Amino acid sequence: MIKTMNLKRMYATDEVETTALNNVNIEINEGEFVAIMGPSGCGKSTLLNILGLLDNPSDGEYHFVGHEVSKYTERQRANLRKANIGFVFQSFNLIDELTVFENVELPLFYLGVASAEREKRVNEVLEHMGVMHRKSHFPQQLSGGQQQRVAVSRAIVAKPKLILADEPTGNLDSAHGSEVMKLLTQLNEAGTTIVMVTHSTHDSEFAHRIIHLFDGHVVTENIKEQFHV
Amino acid sequence: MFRSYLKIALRNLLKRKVYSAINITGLSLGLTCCLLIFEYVTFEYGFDRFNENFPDLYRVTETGSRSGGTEALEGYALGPALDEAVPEVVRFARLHPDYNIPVISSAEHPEKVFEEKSVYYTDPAFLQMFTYPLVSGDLRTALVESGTMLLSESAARKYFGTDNPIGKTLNVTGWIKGVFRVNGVLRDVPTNSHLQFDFLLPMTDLLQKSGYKDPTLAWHWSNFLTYVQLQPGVNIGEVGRKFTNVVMTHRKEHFERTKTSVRVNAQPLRDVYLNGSIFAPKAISGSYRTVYFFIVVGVVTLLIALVNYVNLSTARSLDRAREVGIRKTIGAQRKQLVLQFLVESALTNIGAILLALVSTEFLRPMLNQLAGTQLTIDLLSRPEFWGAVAAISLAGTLLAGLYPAFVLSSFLPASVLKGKGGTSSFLRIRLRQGLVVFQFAAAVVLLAGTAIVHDQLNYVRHMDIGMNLNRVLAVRGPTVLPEGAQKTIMMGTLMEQLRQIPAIEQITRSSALPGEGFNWYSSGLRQSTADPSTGVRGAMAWIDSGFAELFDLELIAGVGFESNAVRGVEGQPTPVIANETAIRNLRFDFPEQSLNQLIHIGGEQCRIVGVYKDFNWSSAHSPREAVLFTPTQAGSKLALKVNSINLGQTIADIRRVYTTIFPGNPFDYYFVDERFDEQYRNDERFATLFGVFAILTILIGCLGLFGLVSFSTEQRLKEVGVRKVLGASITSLVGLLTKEFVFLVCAGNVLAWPVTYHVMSLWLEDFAFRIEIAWWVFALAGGLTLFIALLTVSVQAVKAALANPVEALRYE
Repeated sequence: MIKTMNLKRMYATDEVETTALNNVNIEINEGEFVAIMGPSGCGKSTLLNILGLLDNPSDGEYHFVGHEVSKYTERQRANLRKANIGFVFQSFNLIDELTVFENVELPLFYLGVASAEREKRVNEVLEHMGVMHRKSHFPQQLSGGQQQRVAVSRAIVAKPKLILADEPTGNLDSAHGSEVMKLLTQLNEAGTTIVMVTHSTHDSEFAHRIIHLFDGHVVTENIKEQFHV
Repeated sequence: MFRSYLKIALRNLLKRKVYSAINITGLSLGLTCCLLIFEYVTFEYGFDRFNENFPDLYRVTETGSRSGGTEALEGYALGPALDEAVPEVVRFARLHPDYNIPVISSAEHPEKVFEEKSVYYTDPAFLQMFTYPLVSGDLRTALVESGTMLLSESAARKYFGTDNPIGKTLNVTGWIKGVFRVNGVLRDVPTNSHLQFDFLLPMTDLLQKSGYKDPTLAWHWSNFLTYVQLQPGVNIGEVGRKFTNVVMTHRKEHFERTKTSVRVNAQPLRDVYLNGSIFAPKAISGSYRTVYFFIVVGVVTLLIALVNYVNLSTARSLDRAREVGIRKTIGAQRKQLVLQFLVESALTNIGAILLALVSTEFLRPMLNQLAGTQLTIDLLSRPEFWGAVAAISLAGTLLAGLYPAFVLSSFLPASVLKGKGGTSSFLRIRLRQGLVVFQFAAAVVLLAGTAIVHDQLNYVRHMDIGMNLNRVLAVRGPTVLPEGAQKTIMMGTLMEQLRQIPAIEQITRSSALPGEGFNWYSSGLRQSTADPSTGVRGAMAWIDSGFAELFDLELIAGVGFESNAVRGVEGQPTPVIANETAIRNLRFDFPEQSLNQLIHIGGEQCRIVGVYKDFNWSSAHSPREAVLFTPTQAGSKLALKVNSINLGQTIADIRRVYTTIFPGNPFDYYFVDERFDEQYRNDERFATLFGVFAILTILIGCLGLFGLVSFSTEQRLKEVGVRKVLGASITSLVGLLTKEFVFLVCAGNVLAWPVTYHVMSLWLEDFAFRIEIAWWVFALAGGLTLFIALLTVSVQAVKAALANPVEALRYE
């Protein structure tokens, strides 16, 4: 599903050029649950942004669901992104001005799904995530755990093939954190590919495979268990 | 999808109340100015458009080769001659104002005696060409039969109450005298008509007047306005050439003798009101310059308000960047985001325009009072008004919304979600600063302009006009006299009796008074020995021996009319006293050189006996005119120098004497200095409006500045916190937060000064007597804007600087 070849990402200011990613080669298959770990500034989020089609690499190739996308324009990336990828962020990134229902509805809205269908699917997801009773609330009225459930609901409502989670439990207490990890595991078991950036060893335990990054390089790959397609 | 945009836009507006209030208030202020100015401009451009034949109606004007000036006054022979010779002329109508102020009285109700200022004599075709509908009477007979008249509904009510006026008679004593039978009532003339009248009398009656019976004067006695209706779609240039040919042919001998020529034009009716430079008596006129000025002010004010929106939206982009990032991550296309932000802009604009519509309703009466307009037309019912509202809203939405929409939608989700994006780029900050500079530059131009206008008005009101008009009361002589009575003798009696009133210190009689122009002009003023074609324009006035003393005219050469040596003798050249301008224009080197010299004016030979020091007979707008005074005891205007103690009693005494000697004449008086100052009424209105708009632009600019400073201090809270921890003083922090804006306001000033100087120099050119633009005007405008801006900025800066640094650091 994901294959990168000699992926590079450089950031240049007037005086300094920083290499965030250097010759990163990874491959992730459909149905995998992969954790990306490493110290701060090692390039985890940069990699996740590129994998999530939010950013382009400076060099190298990136194959996503059979397309070489490293030279895609923002518009092409957006089209591919909205149909295939769901995002879960550390800080939830819900839109404060929208209710729970509207936040979850947003991806379907941008996909051009008809109103009745949107309502049906959003209700299903909210029901499934146990936040149905909060559908008319605004994000600020929810607890952190509930907000992250809503964020997960939003990530999966369009039934993406891939979910990218950037420190999904970073802002949560351990009880709510575990809850979210369980949710991700369930999704993975249902067939969704999950790539998660994390600092937490506990969370990485849920993944099939851990990719360690250091100074923009992949240093090790731990395969925790045999993965069967 | 649209509903969703609307919903989120609405929630955004409600969530950030202060920001929305600044935006909506600022925009609505700008829009209110714009709408009021739109109404005013529509009103000014709408003059005479109620006429059904509007596109085909023209006024005939004449540009002389010698003076180069254009006038609308013609001889009575012109209309018929054009009608006969030029096939494009469908019909013509001559209009002759009553140059006196006629007294009209009702035979039935002797107490109903009024002076009427709006009486015209005209041809029957007038009512076919123009749309002044009759509410009773017959269009076919109106103005046809001699001794009949039409009057307006208001005039009918004034003289006849609720009675039916048709068939009733009124006595008219004016340019002509007679009894006229009402055979029609006109609907009141609309306020947006350049011709304003209450009475129309048949042209045939006027042409019976002895002066008009002389066929040799048919072309020369130019007291008539001539209007023509041309065939639709004719070539005006061609018609003008034909008109010119007709006039040149008929007056061939005159032009050959004076070695002059004339160009005759058909001036479209749409140009008549606004082109105030073409003189026509009693017609009201506007000014293109004023209209253009207000259009510019309206557009600038609106732009200033739109700039607020643009600046505040882009300044708070940090606020919105996260939202944009999320939406993009989830799959929003850029155009969808642009649309979303445009909907927000549209909502703000609609809110502002609704507020503006309400304030326009409230402010209209104030504008009417300030600008002297009569905006009573119900614009709300007119489609073009709503068209303009829609156009202004759309333009506002796009102008204010497009740039922020593109800026906000351009954020890269990867960076903004990490908190890196959304900060302003260098270019964006420069643009924002540029826009603030523009706002304040505009405010400074208006503010400095206001100061210059006031300075100029102060100057003209206090300048030495070479005459003393203090405590001078003017009384017009009678219009209605008993059969066989001699006006001159009766006026003498009046003066004798008035002299008995102790409060009256001096009395004089003359044909003209300061501030009212002259009754008699000629463009043929020259030394008798000079070539007739070298004549220049000069005015003539008849005064008695007390005139110069009463008005403090200073005699600088020769003798005055007080001297018994100066008497007009039949058959001898008329003795005249000229002013300095006349002496110069007559090409004498110095006043004494002109004494006893013979000169010609309007075919009459005169001898200069004295020279008065120059004076300003009219407002400072006009240069000093060449004036010749001739001695007479027959002037019809009285000027009385009165003691200001117990003025009420004095006026009552004068009224008693006047009405005893001249029964049947309304007594009317005014103070000459007040009438003189009235010439500046338009300038005063202009100054007031200028000031109002200056205040508004500063207000709108400050609203924007307030918003900007709020955001910038919010963004720098951490910096402020760190600096405070490190020991920064409150003063240095306030300085830190305000110096950028102070710099911008200063830059605005520097930009505004040359513009102000240039624009106001143009305005001052309208005055023959004007001030030099002083440096303090710029210092004042600069200091004032800086002070106001500093006040606006400091409130926020001080608040931020006083905040607990821990609070500030916790924000991050």
